[in-house]
Amino acid sequence: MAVDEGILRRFEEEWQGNAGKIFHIVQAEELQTVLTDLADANGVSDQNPIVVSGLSEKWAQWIRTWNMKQVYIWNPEDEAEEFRHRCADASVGITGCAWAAADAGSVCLYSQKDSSLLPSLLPPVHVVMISAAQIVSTFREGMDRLYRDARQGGEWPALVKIVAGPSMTADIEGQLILGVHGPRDVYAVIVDN
Amino acid sequence: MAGQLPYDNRPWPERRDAALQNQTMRHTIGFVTRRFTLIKGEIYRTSPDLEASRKTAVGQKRQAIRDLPQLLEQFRNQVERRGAHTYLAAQAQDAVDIALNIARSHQAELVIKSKSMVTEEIELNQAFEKAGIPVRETDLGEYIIQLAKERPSHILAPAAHRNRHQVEELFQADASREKISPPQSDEIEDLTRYARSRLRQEFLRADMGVTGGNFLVAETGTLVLITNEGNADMVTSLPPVLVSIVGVEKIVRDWASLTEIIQQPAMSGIGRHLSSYTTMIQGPKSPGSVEGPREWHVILVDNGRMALRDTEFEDVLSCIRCGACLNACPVFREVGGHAYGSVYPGPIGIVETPLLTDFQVLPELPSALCTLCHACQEACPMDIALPDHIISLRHTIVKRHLNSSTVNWTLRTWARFWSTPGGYRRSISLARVMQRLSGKKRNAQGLFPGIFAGWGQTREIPQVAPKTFHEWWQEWKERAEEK
Ligand code: SF4
Repeated sequence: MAVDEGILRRFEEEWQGNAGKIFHIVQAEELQTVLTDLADANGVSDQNPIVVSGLSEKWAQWIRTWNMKQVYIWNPEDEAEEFRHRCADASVGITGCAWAAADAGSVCLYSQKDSSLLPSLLPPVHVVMISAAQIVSTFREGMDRLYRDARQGGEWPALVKIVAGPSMTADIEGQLILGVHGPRDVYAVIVDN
Repeated sequence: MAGQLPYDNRPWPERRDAALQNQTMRHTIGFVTRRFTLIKGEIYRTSPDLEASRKTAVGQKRQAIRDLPQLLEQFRNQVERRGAHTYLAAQAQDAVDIALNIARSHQAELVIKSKSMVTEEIELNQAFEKAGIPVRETDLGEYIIQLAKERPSHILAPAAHRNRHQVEELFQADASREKISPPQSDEIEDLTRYARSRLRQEFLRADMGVTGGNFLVAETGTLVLITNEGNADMVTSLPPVLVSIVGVEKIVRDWASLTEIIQQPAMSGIGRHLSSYTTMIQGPKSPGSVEGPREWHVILVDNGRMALRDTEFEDVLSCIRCGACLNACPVFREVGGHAYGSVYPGPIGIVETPLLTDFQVLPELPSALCTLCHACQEACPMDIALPDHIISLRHTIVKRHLNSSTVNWTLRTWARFWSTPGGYRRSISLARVMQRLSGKKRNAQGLFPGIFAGWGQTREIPQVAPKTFHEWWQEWKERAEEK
């Protein structure tokens, strides 16, 4: 599917307006460079690993070939409780998304067996991978997409989450602070192909 | 049936004076409300499609309120089909009892909560504490006022009345109670970091979560939660048991209606297209998922709401709690939320508090805290006729003799004198006599009867002139005619 440049630019603008950051990549090596920088900047270690969930098989493979040993990719065969502990200690969480909306600068994640929301919630850094073709022009279109997906899938996901920026508060003296409960930094990695 | 609402039983002048003396609160509230009002106007101006959505949403929401009983039934069927439990609580106490029973049956030891006005309304925390079950508020502002044992001073900025030093003191005391390391300084960054790590442990440990709800979708059985902090995501993802307590009026008919209305709270409240996190719950978690509650209970709270249907006040049930009317109100900007004495402050609060309780609670609000400037009317995204309601409530209050006898006497006397030109003239000559008798040469300060006595104390009241303009005109005319 051809990618609409206008939509892409609008998404970038609005996402950054919501205090999110953007990377563009085309292939595996670039993703690995981006992630290596993020891992260094955020103190990834054995105790504070990277947790991953909800990526397409191709992208999951990109991450596997990165050869970073402190990476846990959620597998529905695994013990949920253990993954939860890893997420609680993790320094970076990586997820895919179901769709992104340009005009609201937002991404939408579905909680399913093979895609957990915890990597987007517990670590201080959330990286969401988006294929350029997943970006719809308006949030309204995204809501339609969600409705269709649920109808076609026969079941609604138990939880759906829309992210439009980092976790923030202005509860003390009206001053804006990022990263109160959820992530302080949100990165969108847009895969152009 | 009338609802039950907690309230501050100090009289209004006392609440007012306390508010006016709290400089921290007035400064922050003044700043926050003006900023929100500004960016709200801006974002609607630059998003014509969302202004169109807003108008559609108003019509749809009004219809949903008319169809409330059927839509609630549909919502309950949908979520129960997916294995959740639903309850209808007629009054505040019923909602509390249901929630307590759920907690007890699971032997809950720690409950975590995301922000919810309706749980303030039903005083859930107090009931849980009394039952020996600790409840932890996790919205930063709510957490602060929970430590301070206070109520929210703004729907969206509950701790706006406390500055960083006061917050640090609360956190220091909390840290020494919990034997954990205190915040590093009173910098807001450090205070927030303290709250993050302190509450993180409780998120992971809690065995029950409590949320409110921004919208319920009848067609799909969806509950929508909106936050900027992401704490509602923690509450819906982590504890094994989830209880959502939601006012019945939060219902919308279908997904299409949700699409029109879902961005309005963030647009009107904080001037953004969306808050940072919007979470939708459709049911308990499916086996094998990492997150989500094993058990989900939805308590739908009436507490005086149903009784407003088919009355002139029906549109009040469309409120989305965006806070725009608070931010726009010149009275709220001066006195903040506590002065109202109700969990619902601001223009919507002075309408809703007496209405939900059939005038049992704070019936003086519509008369005491409104200047009828209509700023709220302009601000409200749901086109709720707040000023009209305030006038109508004032009528009802007089008709039902809910004013104190001094107020009634004063207003009756005033009306008797000033409703005819002759009466007006008589009142002025009377005031002149009184002024002479009281020996006060300078002005007529002490001369205000009844409730106006206070009015005279805080204002420079001009002296009653020895001769009114009318008298002077009459004399001048007579003299001119004589010539
Ligand atoms: S009355 Fe209107 S402006 Fe006030 S909180 Fe409700 S929806 Fe917002």
